Amino acid sequence: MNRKALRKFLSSRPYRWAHLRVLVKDYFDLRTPEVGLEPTRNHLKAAMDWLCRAQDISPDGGVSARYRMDRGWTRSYPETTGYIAETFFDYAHYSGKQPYFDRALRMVDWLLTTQLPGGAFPGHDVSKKPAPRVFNTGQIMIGLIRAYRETGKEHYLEAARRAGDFLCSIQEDDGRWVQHAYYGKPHAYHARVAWPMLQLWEVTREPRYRESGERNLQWVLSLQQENGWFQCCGFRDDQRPFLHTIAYTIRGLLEGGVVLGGDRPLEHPFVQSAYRAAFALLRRFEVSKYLAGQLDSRWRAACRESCLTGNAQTSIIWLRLFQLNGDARYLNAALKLNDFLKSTQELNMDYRDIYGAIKGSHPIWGRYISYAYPNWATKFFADALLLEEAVMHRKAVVQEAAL
Amino acid sequence: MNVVVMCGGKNHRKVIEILEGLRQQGLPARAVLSQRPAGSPIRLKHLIRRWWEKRWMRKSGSQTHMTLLTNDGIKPEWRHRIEQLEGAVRLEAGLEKLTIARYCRRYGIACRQVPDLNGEESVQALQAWETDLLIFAGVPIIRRPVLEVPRRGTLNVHMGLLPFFRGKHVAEWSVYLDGPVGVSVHLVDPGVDTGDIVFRQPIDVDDCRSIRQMRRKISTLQHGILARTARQWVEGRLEPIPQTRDQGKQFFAMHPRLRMQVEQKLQAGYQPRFTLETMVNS
Repeated sequence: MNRKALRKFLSSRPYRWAHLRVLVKDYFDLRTPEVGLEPTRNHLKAAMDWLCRAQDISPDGGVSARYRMDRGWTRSYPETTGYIAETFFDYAHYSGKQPYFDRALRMVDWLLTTQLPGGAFPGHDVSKKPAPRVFNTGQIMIGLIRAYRETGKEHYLEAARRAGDFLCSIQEDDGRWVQHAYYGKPHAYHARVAWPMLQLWEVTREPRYRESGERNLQWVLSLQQENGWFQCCGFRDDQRPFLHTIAYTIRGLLEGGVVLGGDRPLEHPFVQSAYRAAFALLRRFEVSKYLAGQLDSRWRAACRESCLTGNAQTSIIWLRLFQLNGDARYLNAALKLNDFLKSTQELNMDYRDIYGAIKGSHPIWGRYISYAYPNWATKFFADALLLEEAVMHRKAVVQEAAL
Repeated sequence: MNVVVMCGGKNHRKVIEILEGLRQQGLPARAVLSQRPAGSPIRLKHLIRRWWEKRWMRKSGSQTHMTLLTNDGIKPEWRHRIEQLEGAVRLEAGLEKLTIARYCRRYGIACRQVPDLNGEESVQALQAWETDLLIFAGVPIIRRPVLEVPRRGTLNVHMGLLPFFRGKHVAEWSVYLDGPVGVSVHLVDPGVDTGDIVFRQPIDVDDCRSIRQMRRKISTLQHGILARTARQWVEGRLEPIPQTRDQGKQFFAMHPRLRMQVEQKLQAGYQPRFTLETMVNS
């Protein structure tokens, strides 16, 4: 252990029983074995409870960015609150419970207060000086558009429209976003910004949004290699990006292709491109039995830890592909990946700050969001389980009818 | 004709069934090449992990949904019945309890263990035996240098109908996808189940009520099919059917929840919706 790692370890407050327990379990890889996994709905409920706690901790209606082992809860994070709202809407429909719906609206209402004069939304959590950021703006649009779809209230759409106009105004001719981008350089994972632009086009039918989203996805498509890999898809290190940003890229292309593909989404080039990358991930996962947190351009593991956020996102992509093409291999792999995620979820302790949450990395000292439980890991985990429930329930119904 | 059987060295019964099948077909094996089991060092981490899993097993008992995945064991009557099926390899009394080494000693077959089946030692052994035909009996992925040694190629039996079902757990995948269950004998190339198909045969599994029973039935029949096909292959009576990589799909280990659906289908008396002919024609 080098000095930096030791310092991080010591600052994670290992003298706390719950923290020590997590550290010891991760050191010996004592995940819940298959026989100990609860039914999916229990894991889902625990994840949602933790997200509720992350919202309740924040005084403003937003969701705290993460629980850090060294400092505890952090301030609200607009970007992820934007897409967490969507999960709460979904869970409200799944569980039939209104409080989740109300929580989602509280999140979106708070987001409206964070919008900057030019229409953009700020990066980072609210403790930092607000500065417009492309990616964060796109993610918040997802929540705003969903809130409009759920409630029909115009002010949500108006805010999304202003955000969309901001993104159109700073987009390069070739579709990239460079200004106000992370590290001031274009990223392939901005595909996940193009997707809400296309959603905005769906609800407003204003061609400029469609043109903007499509242009960006075309640029992302030009970055794809023969083996399905995307260049420029890391935050900073494009040689060994996190699975998290790879999955963002694939999801953006997939959903963008679905919006544009109409009745035949599978034939759309964006979906086919997403399919190629998703299958490369599937092969890698099935052959090596796990997905590394960082990959290189030949889809080989570039680190030993897992990026749990990326795993949950990948599971969502596979389940979406199964919904689209009916290829059971995707369902099979997604179920396995979800089991892995469930096995890392802490359901056997009373410590409420950790109960039900998903870590950034497994083991917790991995490179991606180390020694912390980011809210987006739990959010994507909840999304993956909601999708699993939808897919498996539908499957069971279909099979019953067939028998 | 020098026939060599290559195996991972774990499943003795499987190897003995293949060796006995070849002997009954008048094509006795010249040698058996197996992999020496690698001893893994006992580590504290592994011991703690094992203790953790056992603790969970005791704790969860029958409380979790996973325990629904009960497998009824293979009853002796069932085993006896399928061993009497036409085409199955019949083992004389006592043979099934022999180890590979003892079987080889009894029938004068050379038997050698190597640390790595893909290693130089393996290639040299095959060359020394002047191998004409190599037969796989449960091996890891074997690389090109080994596959280039046998003059008449390498045969493998696969528990699914190629090219449609490649990879792992293909019998289960066939049932899951309402397809025909069967076996294929194919020439081995460096890909996964992508070599030319030498023979394939669908197998009825409507009398199987669990995955275990189905696998047992296919496994018993496939060794006889492999031995017969090997004889016909060396006699030049079979024409290989080439397959391309994009023709079929590669499957992977099946998740327990999907396996449960396969169990349900088998319990209800499985009837495939497609036949091999319809799949070939489509």
